[in-house]
Amino acid sequence: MKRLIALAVATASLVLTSAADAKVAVFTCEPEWTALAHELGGDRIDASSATTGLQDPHQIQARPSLIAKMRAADMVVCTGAELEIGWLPVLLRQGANPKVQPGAPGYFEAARFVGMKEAPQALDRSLGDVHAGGNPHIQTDPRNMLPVAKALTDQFVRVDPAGADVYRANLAAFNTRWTAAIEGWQQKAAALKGVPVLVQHKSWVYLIDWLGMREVAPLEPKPGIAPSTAYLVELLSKVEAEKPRMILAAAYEDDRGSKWMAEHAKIPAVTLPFTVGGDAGTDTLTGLYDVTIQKLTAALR
Amino acid sequence: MSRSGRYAVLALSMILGVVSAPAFAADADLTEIRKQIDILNQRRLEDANRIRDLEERLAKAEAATRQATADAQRAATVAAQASNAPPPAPPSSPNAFNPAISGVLDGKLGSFSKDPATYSLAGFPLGGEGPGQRGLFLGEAELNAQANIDDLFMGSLTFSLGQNGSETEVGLEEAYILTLSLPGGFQATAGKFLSDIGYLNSFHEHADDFADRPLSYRAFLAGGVKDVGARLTWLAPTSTYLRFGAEVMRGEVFPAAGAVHDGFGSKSAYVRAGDDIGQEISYQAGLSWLWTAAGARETGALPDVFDGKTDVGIAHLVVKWAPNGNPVNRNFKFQAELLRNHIDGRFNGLGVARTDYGAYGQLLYQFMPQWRVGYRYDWVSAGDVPGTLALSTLDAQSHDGTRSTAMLEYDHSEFSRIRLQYSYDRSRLLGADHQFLLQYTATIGAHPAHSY
Repeated sequence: MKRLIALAVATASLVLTSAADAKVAVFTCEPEWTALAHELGGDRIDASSATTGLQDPHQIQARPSLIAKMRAADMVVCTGAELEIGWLPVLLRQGANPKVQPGAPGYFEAARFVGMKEAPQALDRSLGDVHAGGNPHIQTDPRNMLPVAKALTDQFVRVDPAGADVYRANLAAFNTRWTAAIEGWQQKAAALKGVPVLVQHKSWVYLIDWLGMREVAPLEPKPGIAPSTAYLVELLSKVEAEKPRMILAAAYEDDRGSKWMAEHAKIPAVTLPFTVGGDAGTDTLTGLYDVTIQKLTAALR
Repeated sequence: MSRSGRYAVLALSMILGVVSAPAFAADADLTEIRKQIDILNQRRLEDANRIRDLEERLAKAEAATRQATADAQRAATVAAQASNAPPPAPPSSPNAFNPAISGVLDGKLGSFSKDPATYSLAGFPLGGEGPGQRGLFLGEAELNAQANIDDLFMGSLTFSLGQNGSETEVGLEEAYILTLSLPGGFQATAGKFLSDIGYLNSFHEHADDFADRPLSYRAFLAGGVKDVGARLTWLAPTSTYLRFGAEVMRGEVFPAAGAVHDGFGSKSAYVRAGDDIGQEISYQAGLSWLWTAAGARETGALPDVFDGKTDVGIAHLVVKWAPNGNPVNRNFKFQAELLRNHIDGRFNGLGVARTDYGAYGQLLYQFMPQWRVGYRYDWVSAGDVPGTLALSTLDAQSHDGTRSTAMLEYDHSEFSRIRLQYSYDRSRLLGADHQFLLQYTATIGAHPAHSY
């Protein structure tokens, strides 16, 4: 009996100490938010992403492992703007976790803090799988990280007030470093200004806007609908006059359409990392844009 | 005309008058001329006044214009500032809180070598539908509305509309409330819902990978159990998904009937577990048990009457694979369920206690975006009946029902699907049936979110 009590006490103290030392468990929907959360949260948080850079964030299955992760989360950090509408609501419902329901301090949508582009004038599925809030692929422009970082820091402070100073100091350091980094990328990418490009899916509006490139057309006839060869033939004849210099595609996308177009238009198909982990050397946010700029400028030569 | 111009004209006319006077005019004329000069002088004064008037008005008009321009500029600046300010509150609107509404449309074309109207599954009384109809027919159209009720509950309501001959049948598919913020991983559901037993049972049929349910579901659960009741689930705080659930239901639907035990006719308990294996493979496995009681349950046209208990046990396993865990381009799914059905009671007044088994296994492969193929094998085996029930509906005469099904599917988008399916069906007591089904399924309205 004595031994049993000792064991119970030991277990209880273990549980209590581990609770005191516990990091803020952050469930992120996409890896770029994991990277940003670690930049801002440092050792106080433990973030992991539901998707990898090689997975299409539109269409993820609400796998059992993700439900278990949702149950354990103190915070959910996602893009929002309906990007995760096909799976996040299921995870939120089945995860049985009141801390991270929409409206709770533990729920964060990055797209709410960024100027959204391409908000549709009309909502009609004949236009393809459009997002009512606008194009959700905001992470392709590093400038968007600044307002998101500020908002995420505020949210970390709400969830974990004890770490307020750490979060704010990290934010200040991030802002300084990031502003300098953006200037560096812009200098390297100066030659990309005005370059006409084709895109596989409309994933790159923010990147194209940032670098001053020009989107000629997407390969998809409608967002989320794969192009047929007949459609590509027609598209090629339409865009030839505009002399696109390259085709932009994400690492997770089916490459048949972009390969076909690359072959027939005789221009390079550039597979960009799209997010953290989408390619070698993109384990950090900085690496993501380093590789993106490097691949784009290489394709220009 | 400018002021100096007017003066010049005036001076010229005066000089002309003065110069011409001594040459031609007499004294009488001089008086006349002076009068004229006076008149001219008078006019000059009037003109000067008028000019001053005009100048004043011009200055006033110019000042007004300057003021207007300045005002316009200031307004533009304010407007620009206002556009940076948060938008004004939207006008209050009674439909701002409308629930998410979605509809499912389902139509089929059937071709059967044996008349589906005479269908019977050897050894089993059927509580639900058979294999379909010949020619064009409509599957169930569904209408779902769901929304958060408040910070504690969400609610979901699903109607089904079926076409039966010339009549339209309205059914209540689901109508439940679900808690959102119970602590400790608990969730409670109350209302009419699809039971969580097994794997397939918790899905609406339009979400299935084949156009019809497995034979074992048809035989033991009439396609799927949905009843009025309450459910409590607990999600364990483990890194591996582990969920326990228990349900009590009224016991109004097959295999139960009559809401016996004072309206607590059916109970169930289940456990589900699942995880990822590496990045590419994920699985879910489960064990479920359903206990039901039937009071005067009638099935078939004659009809057959059953009083007694039916217990159904189900083990299920689902494994999914996708390269890099990205199912959009290619993916693979294996799904299998093993069912055990035990009945103990009186069938048409004659005592019976026996155990039946059923199982199915299916493979689905999406080999390129939008295209999937699938294969399913089906099996049910009825237990022996006592001699008193020989040749009754319960007597399968040692015949095990089997079926092989192949299907090809084209998903144009997330919202539409066209499916062609062929089954070689040997579930009748005698003979094989070749069954073809062509089906469309479409979703309208709110974006669907799919369970695993």
